[in-house]
Amino acid sequence: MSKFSCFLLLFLTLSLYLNSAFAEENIDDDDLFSELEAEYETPDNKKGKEEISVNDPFQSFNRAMFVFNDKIYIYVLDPVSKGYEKITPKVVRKGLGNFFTNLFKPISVLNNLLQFQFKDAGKQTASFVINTTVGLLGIFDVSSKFPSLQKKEKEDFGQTLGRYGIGDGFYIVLPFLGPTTLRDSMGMTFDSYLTYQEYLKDLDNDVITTIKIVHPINSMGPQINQYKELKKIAVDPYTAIRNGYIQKRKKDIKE
Amino acid sequence: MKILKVFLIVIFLLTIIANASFSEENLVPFLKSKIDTVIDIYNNSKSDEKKIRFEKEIKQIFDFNTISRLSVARKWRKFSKEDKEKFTQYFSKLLINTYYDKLKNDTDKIEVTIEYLKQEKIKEKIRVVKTRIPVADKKGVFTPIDYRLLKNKEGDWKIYDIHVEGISLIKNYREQFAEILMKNPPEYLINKVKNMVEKK
Repeated sequence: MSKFSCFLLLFLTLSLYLNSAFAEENIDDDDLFSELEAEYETPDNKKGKEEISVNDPFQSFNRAMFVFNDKIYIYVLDPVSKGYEKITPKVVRKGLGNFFTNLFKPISVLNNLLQFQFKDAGKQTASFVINTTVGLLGIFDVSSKFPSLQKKEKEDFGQTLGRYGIGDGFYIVLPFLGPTTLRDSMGMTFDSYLTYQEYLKDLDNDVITTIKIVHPINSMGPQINQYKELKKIAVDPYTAIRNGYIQKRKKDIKE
Repeated sequence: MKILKVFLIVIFLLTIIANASFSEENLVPFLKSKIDTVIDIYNNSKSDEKKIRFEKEIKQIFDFNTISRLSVARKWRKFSKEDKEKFTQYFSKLLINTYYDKLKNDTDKIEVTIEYLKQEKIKEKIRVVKTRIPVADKKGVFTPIDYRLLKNKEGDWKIYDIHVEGISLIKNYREQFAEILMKNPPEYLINKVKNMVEKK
């Protein structure tokens, strides 16, 4: 027999064997279900609380704060945001959004560096330089025209700490600011210190105050809508928001 | 010898074809056709039968038994057979209603450009199809939506979880239900879901 035929024979035997191995894998319903279940298990949690994603020792306080915030969002912030969207042209809102994203980018670059993500830090620096100059102080997002600069997710110090292996600590709902954890609130304090006490410290006080007021109003529209969406499909809105926050942060830290 | 050679080549080619169709079912076009059907039903049905047809189609695409069982997690064992049936019935109704109402509030016709990216094999009978939807007014920004599908006993692929921006719907319900069932019996949860459905 020629070498060629030998090869064919060998291949045939092999593929027949593989096919039969395939066919044997005829798992029944319960096995399939435990495979599914395995995808959702979180082994690091305490027994009896396997489905709970975060420690919540102050739950009764948090629930009260959740109700308070809910009222604020629905009766104050949502109308404010809708009114703002009505009186402010889309172009202006977009320009302002770009401006703030660009303004805070150095903080994100620093956190990228702290997470040893040098490539992302480089990309964000490039996009900061381009947008600040050609994009007129960041009002125009010129850098998004370059495909390689399009991915520029924000990194904060909470994510940096998460990267270092520091856990959530516990969950806490802050007045107005909403869901956070011990780790993330510490991260937020650090980022805000860096931003206002170091990076922007030479700016006039009135300018700082304007930034602190306009920035949230300009950006909160989509966030309030997201909140309303999640609340609508929730059976227990408090837990739904808590789980959503923790899942989102886990994903942000991984990226 | 020649005949043997030809014979072997034919079988060789046949096994390649058989193997290819065996191991790599591509679920991307499958999911696309299913979602296209739902969108078509939503956009082109007469208003009096729209919701019924929509609900019927969704029930064929999603595996609500698995969705309910996974969402309740370990406490599922504490549900009687009747509880399980009732819960599955109301919970699927709740999911379908909210999905339908969301569409209704947004627009009369669904006009969405879903980009179907790829499928990933998790296990033999578990797959993920990754898609994304462009965010309005934001160039180069997308909302990633992953569909998780499983192959049931009948050999049909059905959706059992959706991840929007990395957030799993099932994981979210698992925590909600665990929180509720920690202090309350199954009937409490069933009634809560039932009330939500009947309020509409």
